[in-house]
Amino acid sequence: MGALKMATRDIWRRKVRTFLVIIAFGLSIAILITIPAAAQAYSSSVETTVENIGSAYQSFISNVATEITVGPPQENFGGMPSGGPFGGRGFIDENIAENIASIPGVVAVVPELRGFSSLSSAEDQGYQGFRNFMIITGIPLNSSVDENYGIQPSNIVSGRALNENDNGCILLGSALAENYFNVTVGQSVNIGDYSFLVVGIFAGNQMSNREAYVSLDDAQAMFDQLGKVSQIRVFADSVGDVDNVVNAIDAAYGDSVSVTTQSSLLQTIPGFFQGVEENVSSRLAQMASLAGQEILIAIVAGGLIVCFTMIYAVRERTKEIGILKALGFTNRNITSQFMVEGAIIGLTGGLVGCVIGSFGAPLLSSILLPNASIPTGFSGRFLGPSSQLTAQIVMPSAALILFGLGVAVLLGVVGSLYPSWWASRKRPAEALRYE
Amino acid sequence: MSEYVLEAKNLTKVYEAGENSVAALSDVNLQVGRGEFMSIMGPSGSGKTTLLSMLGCFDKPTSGQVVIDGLDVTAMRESELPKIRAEKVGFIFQAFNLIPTLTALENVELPMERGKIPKGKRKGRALKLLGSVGLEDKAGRKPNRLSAGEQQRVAIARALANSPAIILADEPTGNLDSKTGQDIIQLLRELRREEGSTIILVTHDKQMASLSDRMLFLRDGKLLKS
Repeated sequence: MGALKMATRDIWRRKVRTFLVIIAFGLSIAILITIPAAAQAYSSSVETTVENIGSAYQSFISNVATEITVGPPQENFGGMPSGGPFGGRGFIDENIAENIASIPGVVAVVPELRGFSSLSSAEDQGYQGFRNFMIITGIPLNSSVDENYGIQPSNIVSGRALNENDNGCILLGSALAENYFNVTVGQSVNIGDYSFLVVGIFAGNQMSNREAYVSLDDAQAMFDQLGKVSQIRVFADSVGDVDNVVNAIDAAYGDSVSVTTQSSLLQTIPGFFQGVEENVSSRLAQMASLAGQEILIAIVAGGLIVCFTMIYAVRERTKEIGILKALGFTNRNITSQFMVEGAIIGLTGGLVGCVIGSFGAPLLSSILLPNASIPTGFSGRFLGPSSQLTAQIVMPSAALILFGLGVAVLLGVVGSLYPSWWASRKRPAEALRYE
Repeated sequence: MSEYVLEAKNLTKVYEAGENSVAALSDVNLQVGRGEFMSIMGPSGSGKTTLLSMLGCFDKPTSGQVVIDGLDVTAMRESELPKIRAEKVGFIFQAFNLIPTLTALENVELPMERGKIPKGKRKGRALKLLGSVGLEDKAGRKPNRLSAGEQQRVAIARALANSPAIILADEPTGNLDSKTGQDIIQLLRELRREEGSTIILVTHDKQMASLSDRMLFLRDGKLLKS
């Protein structure tokens, strides 16, 4: 016999009630283990996002903000930015690049020659471009510079980028390759009087799709601009070096070149990044407090469920308590029987809660925790990582499930403390007369 | 050891009810010999239940003494009384009062958890006791699958479980028809001989009381000799 056996039988005496109590209690425990799991996943996803923003910011600083563009004088083309496809009409001497490379604080220079080549409308079969032209950029063939500063497009869909000794080769935009020239890697294309071997095809947007990259030498020959470039991209070692480099270029070339930096962007980015961090930390704090409240409510609710159930059980079994006392059972025996009963409800409810918590984690956490969207994208042409954050779903860990079970049993015991004590206080004579 | 297994000396119980106090028992003196089958009769309100509460260590008297098997239980602390109830006193109630979730066998074994019978011998003793009340074949049944008479016989077996010094039977035939009631009293008489128990039967049924060795009358809280 013993308290355990009696307690078990007493629990199953009222099957429907016990079932409902265990489900209700189980839900409390499910919330108890789901919320920390979801909150943990959420904050680690936020941390990852913040890290991504941080590294995007760092790479912006090192790759974009440290970039200086040296082009033909501004007045040559009425305020249009130099170096772009529409600014390619003016040229500067290629040897300026070598001189700039020797300025302290400069880590790389990339002279580019950019030009247009018209496409005959007869050849432009079914091509849905907006003008019959392609943009050809001549670049120095230097793999390590390319790797560090992303001179060539990175999204190559077949073949490869241009390497050293790739004179006479071309990297084609996919629209040009598929719709206009109708070629694949390994085939040749003719542009004007020149023939190029296609080594790679890249995908881009509607505009960059119609670009192509060749070696600087080839471009200079094709556009008849030997020794000339349309712009020089200069990379400073750090943001702090930018001003010195710009001053050195100014001193050497004055108004014969135009110099453009990303200083205005540099000023906006740190503020934006700080805003994101503040946004993230306030959302994390909000969620932690919500999660804390929900856990507290779940614990209180679980304890009250056990407490009320046990109070009801004690009322129902007052006479039995009297009988047990008449048979010589002590107050402690009675107390422990009801506490064991509470603990069994706690354990069973806890197991049910772990099952509900494991399978219902996605639903529960989507109901109980807010989805958050954090604006993490940089404005303008520099896009940061994804700006959408959702409360992520993970299965509660084994440790969390064990913790949940432990809390469940503890709640069962604590919740039955008062009812058990109350039961043990009943005087046998009174209890026996109770009907 | 005293020649009496149960003694009540100048037992008085006064219930306070506001400014009035009601004496449920006044100056009751009682001696019960070992192995005696004694009955106490009285109309309702005469103090029978109060007397049983005192003798069964459920309640403390206002004054006086109860001595069971040489032990002054009125001088004992509350925490010592469960042990006395378990080892010295067996109860038989009018409403049988079996535990509904336990089988007949488990009900008989239940008091042994608090008594001196070693764990390994409990089941055997419970079966033997069920046999002596004629219910060996119904040992596995729960109370709701036993007749009223059978339930009371299980209760008798339970009362005998720890071989108590005294058995207090409170209207044990009150919920039974007269034939079954007589059978129960007969059973008590036989078992008293076999187990050597002392029985105090409280009843208002003169026919049942007449089967005992000695009858006492209780009226207005005072004990009258027969």
